[in-house]
Amino acid sequence: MSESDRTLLPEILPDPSAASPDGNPRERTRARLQTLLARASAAGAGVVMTGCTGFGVVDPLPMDSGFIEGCFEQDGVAGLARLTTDSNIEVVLNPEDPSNFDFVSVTLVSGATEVSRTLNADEAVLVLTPASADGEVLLEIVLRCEQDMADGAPLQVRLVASGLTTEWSVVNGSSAQ
Amino acid sequence: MANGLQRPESGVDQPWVALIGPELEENLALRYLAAALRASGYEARILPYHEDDHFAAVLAQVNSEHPPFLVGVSMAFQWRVLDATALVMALRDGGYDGHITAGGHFATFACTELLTDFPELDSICRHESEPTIVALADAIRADRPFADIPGLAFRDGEQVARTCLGAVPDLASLPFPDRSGEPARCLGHAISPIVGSRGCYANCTFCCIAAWHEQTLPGKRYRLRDPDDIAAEMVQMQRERGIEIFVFHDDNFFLPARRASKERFEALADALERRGIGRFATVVKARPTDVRDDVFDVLVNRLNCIRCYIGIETDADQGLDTLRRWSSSKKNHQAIEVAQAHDLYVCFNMLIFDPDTTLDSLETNLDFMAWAPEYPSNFGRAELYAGTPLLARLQADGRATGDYMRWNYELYDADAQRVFELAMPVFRPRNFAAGALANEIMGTRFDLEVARFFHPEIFEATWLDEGRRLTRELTLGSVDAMRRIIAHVRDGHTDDALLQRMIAIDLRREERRIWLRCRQLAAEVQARLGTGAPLTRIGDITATPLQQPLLATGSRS
Repeated sequence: MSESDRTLLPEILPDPSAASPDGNPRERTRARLQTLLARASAAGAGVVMTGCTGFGVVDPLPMDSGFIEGCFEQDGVAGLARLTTDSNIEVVLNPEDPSNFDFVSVTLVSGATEVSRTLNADEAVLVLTPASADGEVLLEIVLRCEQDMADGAPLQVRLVASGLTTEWSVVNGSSAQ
Repeated sequence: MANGLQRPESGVDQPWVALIGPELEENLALRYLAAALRASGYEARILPYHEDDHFAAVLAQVNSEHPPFLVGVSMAFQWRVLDATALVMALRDGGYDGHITAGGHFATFACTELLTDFPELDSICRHESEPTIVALADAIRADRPFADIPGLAFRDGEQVARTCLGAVPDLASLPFPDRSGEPARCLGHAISPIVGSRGCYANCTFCCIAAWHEQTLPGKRYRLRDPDDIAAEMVQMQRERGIEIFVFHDDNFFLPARRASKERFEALADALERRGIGRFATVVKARPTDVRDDVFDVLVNRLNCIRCYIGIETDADQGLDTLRRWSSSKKNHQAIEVAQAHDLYVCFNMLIFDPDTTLDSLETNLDFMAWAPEYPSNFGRAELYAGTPLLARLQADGRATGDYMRWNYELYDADAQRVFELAMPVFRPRNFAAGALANEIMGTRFDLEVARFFHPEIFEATWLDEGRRLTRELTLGSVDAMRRIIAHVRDGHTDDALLQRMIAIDLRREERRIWLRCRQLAAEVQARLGTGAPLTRIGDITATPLQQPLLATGSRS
């Protein structure tokens, strides 16, 4: 292969679907410059930028807007939400360390009706129909530590499913934002 | 040989050269240039630039009270060139009035277009540029004209002038590359890249490395360092920086003749022993035709290879022909079998889409991936890189669209093109995006190999079983999804959006599950070894020390 940076991960393939952009090279450069300047300005205000690559991807590109799913990791829980073809939301939750933590409960607090749920110790899958167009859903999650068999404090998370994207925020975790 | 490890004293007002480019690992291209400049008495500083977060910090360092008199911007990678040209534009907008040059594969091939479209650029250093950038620095300091500098393209009035290429640098006389800063680590074991050669004997149609070396060394396309010289650098790095894992970034670590490869590896192993190297491991790249039993005996048992990337690229006769791979399906399979026989971890990429791809050739390539599912692989399209025969062919056919900064094309076969268009959006998070699992899982597997090699007394065979199981799951999931897309096209279905959505949901869920298990596996290995962080977890915080000041002053919180 020829085009990738030399990374420990041996060869990073470019994203071919990003080809054929608009504008001539100079116009595209100017547009890219404006993006970089805007991000640099936002970064000065304390915004954490995406696009970290480390040993991995040389040329990070945004995920395809048609299939974006939101993720979160908080207080030992990893969550993923996706819009399904019938306008429902599928929520998949896992303990980050399933060898030490099990799900006790996942409660739908507000914002949706439940279509289905599967709750195992190491995975919870909920299919929800949002109640409103803004798609805001509140969930409460409780994990149990296997070591001392004690239930953790409930973690409340907000999920907003809007358009084609989903976004999580933490309402009352240990570092709620 | 001069020692690039020693940085000259730098006075506050000493004229300096800024070298800007990716520093994901130690960027040897920039570090060889830095060493050449320092050997000639110039202070050279490498400014890492491969994330948006670096942009402001790089600007601030160049447009400072004491700016460099020369800025060199890496333009090796066509897909990142907008970042480079945007930086050049920003430097001028910010008032920088020193000389700005660029170099690398892309800049070399596109020097006329770049100098025409970007008056902010003053010159391009073409091809291997250790002598060129030193001569350029000399000419700028002495206010001399550029016409006598070999290998330079520069603006001459309204025209772009190109000087003749000089002789390629003698690898035996180049200073060792700059090794400033602490090395990256995997599970506590220091890693450093190194090159023992430049170029590749093969001549694949899509490869800009082959095109580049064909211009300077037609027919042969590669040059070698003496094994004893390589051993000297390795031992020096081990003694001075504690390096235990040497990642050979040679375009091709192997020679065209099997016996020559074996003799070279034995000579390197002998030289390392003579020089008293301590415990070490190596990482290399090979073409499928290089993977021969007796050669790999030496590679694994004497050079302690723990991972080999094999450039499979395609297993279809059509693809092998289009890409001019000088290989065959039989040799691809043999390569995997030889690696398996040596219990060697290998990974590979597949260019399952190329201009001539058909549904049949797609299925052949998927069959290959499914045949070797426990070895991490990724797949994509053969892209059109500057200077390559594949680009020239598609331009001649009138099928290359876009421009020199980003060429695109449609596959000749309409059904294959439709599969491509259906597949790429759903596979983007898995194959190409930041954190793409097809790439990340290679890091997890590397963690396991480092643990296995350096800590055999602790290593659990079940860890490797789990790593292989996760890899198999990911590969077979990808293959299954691709087969669903091919069947959809073959059967003439038209509900494309529904298919994409259903496949995307399945893929994302599978990725999440596998990713979590990779992290758990890495955490277990880390906890048992207690020697340091694995690649699986360290991600972007494995910044080399050159990045640390930028991160500290940048936006990362």
